[in-house]
Amino acid sequence: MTRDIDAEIHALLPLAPAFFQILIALGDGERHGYSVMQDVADRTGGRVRMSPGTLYGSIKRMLAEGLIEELTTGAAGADERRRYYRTTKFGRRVAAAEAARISSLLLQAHESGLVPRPS
Amino acid sequence: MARLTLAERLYRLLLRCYPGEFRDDYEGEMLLAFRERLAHDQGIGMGAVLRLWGQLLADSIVRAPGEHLDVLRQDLRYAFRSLRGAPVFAFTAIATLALGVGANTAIFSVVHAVALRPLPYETADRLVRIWEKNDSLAIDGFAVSLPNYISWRERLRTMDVAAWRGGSVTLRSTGDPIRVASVAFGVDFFRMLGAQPVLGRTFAPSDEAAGAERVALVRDSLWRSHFGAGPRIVGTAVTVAGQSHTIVGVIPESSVPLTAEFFTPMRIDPAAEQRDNHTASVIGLLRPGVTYEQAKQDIDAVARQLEAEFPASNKGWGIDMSTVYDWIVPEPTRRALFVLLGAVGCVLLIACANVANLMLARAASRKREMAVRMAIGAARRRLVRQVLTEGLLLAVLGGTAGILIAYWSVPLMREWLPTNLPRGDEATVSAPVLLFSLGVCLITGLAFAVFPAMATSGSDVITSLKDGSRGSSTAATRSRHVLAAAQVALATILLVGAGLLVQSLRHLQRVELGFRGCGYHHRDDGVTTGPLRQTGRRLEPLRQALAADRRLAGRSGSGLVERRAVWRGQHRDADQCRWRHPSRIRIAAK
Repeated sequence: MTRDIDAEIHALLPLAPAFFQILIALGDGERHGYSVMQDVADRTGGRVRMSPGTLYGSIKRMLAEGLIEELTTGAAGADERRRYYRTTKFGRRVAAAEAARISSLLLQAHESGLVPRPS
Repeated sequence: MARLTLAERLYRLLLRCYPGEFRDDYEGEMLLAFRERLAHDQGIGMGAVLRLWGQLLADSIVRAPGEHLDVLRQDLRYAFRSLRGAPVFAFTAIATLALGVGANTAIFSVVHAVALRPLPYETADRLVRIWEKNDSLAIDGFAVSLPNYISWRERLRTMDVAAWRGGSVTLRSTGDPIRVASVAFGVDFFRMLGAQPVLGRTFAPSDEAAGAERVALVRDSLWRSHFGAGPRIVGTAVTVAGQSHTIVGVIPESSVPLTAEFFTPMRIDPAAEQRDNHTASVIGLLRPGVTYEQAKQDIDAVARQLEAEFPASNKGWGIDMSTVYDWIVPEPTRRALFVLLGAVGCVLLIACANVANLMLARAASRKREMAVRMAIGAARRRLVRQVLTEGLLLAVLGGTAGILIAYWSVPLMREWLPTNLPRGDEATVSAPVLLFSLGVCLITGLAFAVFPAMATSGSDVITSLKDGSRGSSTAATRSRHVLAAAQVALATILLVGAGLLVQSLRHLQRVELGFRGCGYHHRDDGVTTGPLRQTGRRLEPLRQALAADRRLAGRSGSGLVERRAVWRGQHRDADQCRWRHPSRIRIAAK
């Protein structure tokens, strides 16, 4: 049976904000849980601070959806006590689709004059 | 992990809110993340630390239940798939439970309507029913003499009293005359019950004065059946016993504990009443702050005064009193209903034991499947929970089918209930009944799933894999033996109970009636007495009908009676009999 990837991607949209934040944090390589929390906080200037419950609840679901995967062998210089995660190909496609969806929304907001265009 | 700090121990306590599987997977990681986040936030300040704890608390309250639901969803999906794979087992178990839950729901709907539902009167907790009694004549629960009632009304300090007298009247308005049960009562009656009219007003003190305009109230049922539920009924004139009455209001169906449909104010002429003529019924309302015992002492004292003052009529007469609840729903009725509920409870337990046995047999055939799942890493508690979830799913499906059976059977049961069962006709599958059924379903599900769950938790992976599906474990076999013994015990209890009931019924059929009751036929022609008494000529068509009936049916004799000697059903009050069975001319033939 062949997977209808596009349908699976669209079924996940709009993506939960926590999922998207985690995918962005894992965009440049594998990270452990606290590192993801820290990255999200740094990128958002401290406005978004994920709790451990939100983070690991999301990680559990994202693993089940196939958006991310857990590294079975530790990364170079990895802390052995920690578990590291990275995005899957499917996760990247979902993140791209979500980014396109948000861009399209932003464009519409610009065109309607609701949001001024960046100078 | 290094020794935990107080904050980390506290956080680990909060993590207890999450399901075991989630904790197995992420507790260590979450503690590490918490440690680092706490260290970071402590560097920022107390505000950041407080915000962190707020987030963690919110996680425990909002996210942890979400994780539980997630696990439940997975377990339910698994249980559905599993039951779909065993349709005969699923059907048998669901049908067994449906019958058990259905019978319990139906009987509980009657128990709830009759014995558990509060009375629909604002002042129900202060209302009492009063009778007269005479121990030397072995009379109790007897009607009250109106002069005594008037004396009580004047002398009682702890309660207000209102009397009523029942009967039946022929009502004539624009349509055909009809015979309805009626009651004349003291105008305080409605105030004491806290009843409000649907239309118009209730009685005012001026309505019972001699010479005042004759007014009446009708019950909601009569308003709908005879007056077409029209709003113009208020002010309508009806004729009763040749006297015109103006209808001043309509009272709701459940506003009075009487079955009458037509109400008039009671006009007492003390000069015409005799103290030894016991004809009225009396209700009392305790004044605020007065206890039942204080009121009883008060009325007993008044009865003793009256006995001393009027020895000719009152010697030996005292007071019988009960709460209105005990009057409407007598203790023997309640006891009988709870015994019946206990009997259907036994049926449910037998159903549970049956389903538990089925599940144990199924668990034996799935032993290898469970062992394989454990061998590839499934936690034992997860498997136990899945067995429990399967049990609960069966209980919910069986319960839903049972509730549908109850919805269908309760209206039928209402028709079969004895006519003298108070409030039995109000039995419905209401919200409290559904809540009861839900509770029964959950308890049932846990009750029959606990044995197979125990069998699952106690099984050994290696032995199970070696044995395959060859049979059940010793523990499971023992559980099945215990269940079989319990079933036999419960069935024996039911059998003995049913046997005693049949025996009692046989004895009841042999009781001497005191008259020859065989060979008589009864025909109720529903002809009212009032007009017949007034115009004797109207009896002629009846006499002719009697003669024709005798010729056609080959009867040896026939005659007219005004009332039957034996009534169906038993009534505590003689006057209640008359309200339930309007007086009609009846034709008895032999």
